[in-house]
Amino acid sequence: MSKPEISALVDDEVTNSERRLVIDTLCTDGAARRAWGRYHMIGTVVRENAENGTGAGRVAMGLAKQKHGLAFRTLSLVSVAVFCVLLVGVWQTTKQEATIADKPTGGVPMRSLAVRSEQPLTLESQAMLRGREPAVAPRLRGTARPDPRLNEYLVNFNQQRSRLSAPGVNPYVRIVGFEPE
Amino acid sequence: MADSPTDGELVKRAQGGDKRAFDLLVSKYQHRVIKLVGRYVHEPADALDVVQDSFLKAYRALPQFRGESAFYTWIYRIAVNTAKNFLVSASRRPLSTTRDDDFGEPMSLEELQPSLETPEHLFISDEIRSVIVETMEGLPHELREALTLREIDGMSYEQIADVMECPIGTVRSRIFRAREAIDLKLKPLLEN
Repeated sequence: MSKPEISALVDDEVTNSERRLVIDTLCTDGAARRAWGRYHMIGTVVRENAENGTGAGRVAMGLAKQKHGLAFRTLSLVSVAVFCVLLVGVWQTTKQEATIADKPTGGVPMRSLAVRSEQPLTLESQAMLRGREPAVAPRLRGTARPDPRLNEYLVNFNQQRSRLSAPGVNPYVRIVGFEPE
Repeated sequence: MADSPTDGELVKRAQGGDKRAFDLLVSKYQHRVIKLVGRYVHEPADALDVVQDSFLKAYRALPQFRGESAFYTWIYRIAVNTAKNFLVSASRRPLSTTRDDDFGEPMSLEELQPSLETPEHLFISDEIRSVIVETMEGLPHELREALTLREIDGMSYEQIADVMECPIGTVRSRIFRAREAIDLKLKPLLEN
């Protein structure tokens, strides 16, 4: 008697004649009877495992893993996208600044001045630069002496700018202050 | 509820005096009965005694079993009554209304076959459980699915063949191969 028939008998999936033959074998063959017992034991454990939720738990765990993986991948993609946007933004800002800085300023870009200048940019220092800034100089030509009240304004502005860590912001007051009347 | 054809055949043979046929019924249902009894009697040794008593009572009462209900339903009732009686006895209260003489002539344990001689085997150890579950999980998909549909969903081979879109013979073969793969790992544990 082959074990496939015992397996089929366990499931009641045999013909009547086959059933009698298999049961005859089971009643006489100890090994076959033990196999019958083990097959039923397997069924009991598989069902109990499903009932106890262990299987469901594993499925849930598997889903959670998948979900976690998906979330991680999504997060990674979002991070990469945000990074790219930031990179493009920084690149554009840099490009914009470079465009402004590349305007003729007598060889010293304004951006360079802003970075180098740890001290507040006063009218004296601007006046010192005046000779090296032909582009700005013509605008200052008409002004014999800048209004000293702007000094305080410029000092405050530069302090604020360094405090706010906004190096890209240009001190417009300089332009406004030296606007010819 | 009608009995399964196999249970019917085994009961008929056991009623005709074939103790091995009854032994096959015990092998089939012993784990379900121990689980049932365990809900009433929490001490494992006591639970095993109750299971033994239940099968002995069933064997003695077998001539009166007419197959109007399924064999498992019948043994279920006997086991529950035996467990309740045990609890009543243990608490030294008056016995319940279940009458032992309902189950025919007394019979010694030795008259039954090996299934009842080693009641400790009724308990499925954690090691056995994990071997079965892990082997099951490691089975090829089609074998695992076939066995799951049969054991957990209770589908017939014909239904499984519909679901898996394959011939019934293939279903039968897949379920057997799944059981055999698990049995290969299980057998050494039980023999030891």
